[in-house]
Amino acid sequence: MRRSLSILFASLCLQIILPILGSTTATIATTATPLDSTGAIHVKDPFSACHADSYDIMANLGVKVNRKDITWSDTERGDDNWYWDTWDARIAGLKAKNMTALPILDYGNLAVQTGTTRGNRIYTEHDIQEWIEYVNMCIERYYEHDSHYTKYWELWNEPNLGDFNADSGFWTGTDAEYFALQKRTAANISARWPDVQLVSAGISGYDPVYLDAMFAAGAMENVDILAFHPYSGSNYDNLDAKINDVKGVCQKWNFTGPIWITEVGWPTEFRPTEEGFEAVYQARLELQATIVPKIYCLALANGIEHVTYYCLGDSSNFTYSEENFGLVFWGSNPYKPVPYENDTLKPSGFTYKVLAHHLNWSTYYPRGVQTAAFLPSAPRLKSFYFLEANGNIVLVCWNANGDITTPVRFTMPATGVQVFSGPSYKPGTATNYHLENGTSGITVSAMIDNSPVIFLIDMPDGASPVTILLESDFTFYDLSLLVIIPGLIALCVVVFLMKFARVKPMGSRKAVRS
Amino acid sequence: MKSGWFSASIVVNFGLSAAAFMLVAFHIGGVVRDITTSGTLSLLLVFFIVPMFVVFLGILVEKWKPLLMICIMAAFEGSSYYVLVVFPNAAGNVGYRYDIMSIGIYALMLGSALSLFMVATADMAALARKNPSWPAFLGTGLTIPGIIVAAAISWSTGGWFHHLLLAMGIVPVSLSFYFKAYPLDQQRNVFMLEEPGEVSKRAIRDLLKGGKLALFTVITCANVLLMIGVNGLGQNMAFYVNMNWMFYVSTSIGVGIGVVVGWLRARALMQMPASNEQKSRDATISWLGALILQVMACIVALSLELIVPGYRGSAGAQMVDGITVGSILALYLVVIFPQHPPRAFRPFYMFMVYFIGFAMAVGNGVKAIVTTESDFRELIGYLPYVFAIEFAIMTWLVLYLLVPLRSSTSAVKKNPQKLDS
Repeated sequence: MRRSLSILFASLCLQIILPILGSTTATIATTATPLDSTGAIHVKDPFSACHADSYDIMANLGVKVNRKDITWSDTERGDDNWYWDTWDARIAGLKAKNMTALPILDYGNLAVQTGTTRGNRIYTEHDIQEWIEYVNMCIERYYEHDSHYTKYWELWNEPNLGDFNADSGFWTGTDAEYFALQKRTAANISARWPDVQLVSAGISGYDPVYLDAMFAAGAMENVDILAFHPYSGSNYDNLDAKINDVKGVCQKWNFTGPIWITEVGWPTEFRPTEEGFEAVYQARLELQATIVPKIYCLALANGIEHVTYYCLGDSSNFTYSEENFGLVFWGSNPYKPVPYENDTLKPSGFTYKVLAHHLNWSTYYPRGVQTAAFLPSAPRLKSFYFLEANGNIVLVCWNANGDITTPVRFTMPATGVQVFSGPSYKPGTATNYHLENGTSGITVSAMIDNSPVIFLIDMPDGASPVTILLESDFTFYDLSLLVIIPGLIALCVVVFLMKFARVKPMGSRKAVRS
Repeated sequence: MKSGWFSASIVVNFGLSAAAFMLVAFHIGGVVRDITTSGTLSLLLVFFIVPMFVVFLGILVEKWKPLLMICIMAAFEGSSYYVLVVFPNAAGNVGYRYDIMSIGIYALMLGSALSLFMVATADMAALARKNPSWPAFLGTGLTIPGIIVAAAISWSTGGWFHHLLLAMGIVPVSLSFYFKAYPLDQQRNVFMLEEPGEVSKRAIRDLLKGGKLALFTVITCANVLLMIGVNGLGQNMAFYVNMNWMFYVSTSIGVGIGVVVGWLRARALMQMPASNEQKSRDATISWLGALILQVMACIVALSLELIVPGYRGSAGAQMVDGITVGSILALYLVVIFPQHPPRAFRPFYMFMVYFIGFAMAVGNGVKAIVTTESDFRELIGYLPYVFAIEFAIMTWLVLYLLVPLRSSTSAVKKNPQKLDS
């Protein structure tokens, strides 16, 4: 009995191990196959940044759109006392760098309103009329009288944040009051300027219930674009699920317009007074850098047309998260970690820059990368294939299993490959890869962990686009799931059978003492 | 295999099954953070039903225990495979959206891991009846999970891959050893650790016992939940997890404290050939001592989190919280081990451990709540009320139970023969 069970166990192990070893060596396939364009998505001007005032840095980063509040209280400083200097300068600065603005029409104006004395709530007829007057003045100035330069306008910011009748909060009225305001505002604008593109209030988070209520209240009538702010802490691997939730609400209400992300990001605040803050600050900076490629790849691959990174630059309060979301260090930051002490851009700025300069006007191909799908580790490799207008390829890749590093390899008929990877993402600093020239092109070997790696693959002029065959080696992860754990389970079952196969558990009433 | 090996296998199985449960429950916050209402129901339902089903089977078919254990292992391994391959890795404490079936399978993994821990605890309690050195066994067993979880945290980079992989590995290893060491008689009958007659004979009969243990369990669960939850609440998981191994390693020190108390009080209680009255009185003293110790430890540890600037998230906080949790768990088992009911021996322990497991899972869920510093301060503002309630219950219990104890002690002093009756 024991011998037969041992033979059974041994043969079971061999049955598992041999096919795996055989198939591992069989995965090496380097023949370039033509690109399958099924489901391809064209990427057009998705790179935007919030609260940006330095137009040179924006242009350097590749920012195309500047999202910024054109607040009612700053614009109308007393009834019909209009102030435009700030926004005139902004529009001029953006035009000089071939950028556009996404103004946010938002917040209350206690200098003009009569219906409330606190917070941000517009619900009386008088206040609504005053609000619409302000909205019209803005659009007349920067759209109608400016050769339609500012075409996209966002209606309010995060109206789902704020308590009813509170002193502060982005919206302090009821949800119904906000929905009514958005509905009337959109109806007014679309009637006067049918070509203006209206963006719904970017809600904080992606709350499908709030969005559903917004549609149900008719607030999306005459609104062209749906916006939301899917902040996700320090890990954006779940962004696609949130986008799908938002898409689900849109489908329910037959909304076919674009979906935009008008705020997203993660702050790098730290406490300079705490012991060891340097390491924490550096770790946060490097973690933030990994977030940017994940956001853009997952968003663009899921059909999001516009992503505003919140925000461009840091400010001086290092402990306040709101002032540390930026892609750019505060100009007088004395605490920059040693590897970045001479940098203007944070590591996240470097990732933003390389993506913005290469993904703009590219095409995303969902079937651009083929992986060795039979290995358990393969589905965790997230890979995104973008074909640039000049024929070059951008491959962004990371391992969604945050705990392990996977060695990958691919060969392309390329003329050169640049690699950008953590921790700094600065050009020329990546060390996790190896290039080898061969007869069929360049073979790239790299170690992929949870930090995205960006491969810029220069293809020969006129070359037909080809699929990337991404080979992943047989790792400890695969070994564990395919061999070690099943082996231990089998061992346990065998021991159990050897011990209890002939036992009579109900046969005797007599209990046995040890 | 000799009975010494079997005792060792019981201790190892107890420690490793506890470790497996702690490992798989560690990242529950990442799963439940963005969970839907139906997902919550699915999670609670499966997490409730699976261990309860095992308790029910424990009542009916104790002799089928090895088969039951291997079935639970199959459920655990199967659901773990699904979670490991299908679920995104919760590195960085990210929230995910899952469908009801996935949540149900995740709950099956949790529930089956907890079930194995429950069965192993019942075995451990039975072993305690047979071996006077049981507090040392208990301490050894409870030290294992702390060390294994700490190792998993150090090994991983914030995700759950290594946690799950380790849990999936140690469960079959543990059960293999357990089955291999399992004694059978000449007729190959399945060995029963505790005969029903013996169970009844050694039970402590006390009218208030059920109520006392229920209160003790409620307070213990609340303290475990608070300690695990507050330790991680509002912390940035990307950095918190790098320090959290200290928490789990330190549980061993707390376990040591509990074991010392057990050695001094509960060990004698378990073995003493005394009257039921005296055993009941001693059990109550042991119970009250453990209650006071754990409530005070919890209040001190949580107050430090609230009051001392820069303490939260520090190595010191991790260690103090870990020691507190370790002592709470050890004291809990030390108190409940001698106090089973006359008949439902095995289901009693399984049932009691179920609540502790549930509290640990909820604590791990609480720590994943995303809070800002001000949100944390607001949430933590409720803690003094919790302290006040616990303190009031404790004071009431001490007064309520000490008065009859005092009178019975006086009666015993006046009439020493009563001890031998």
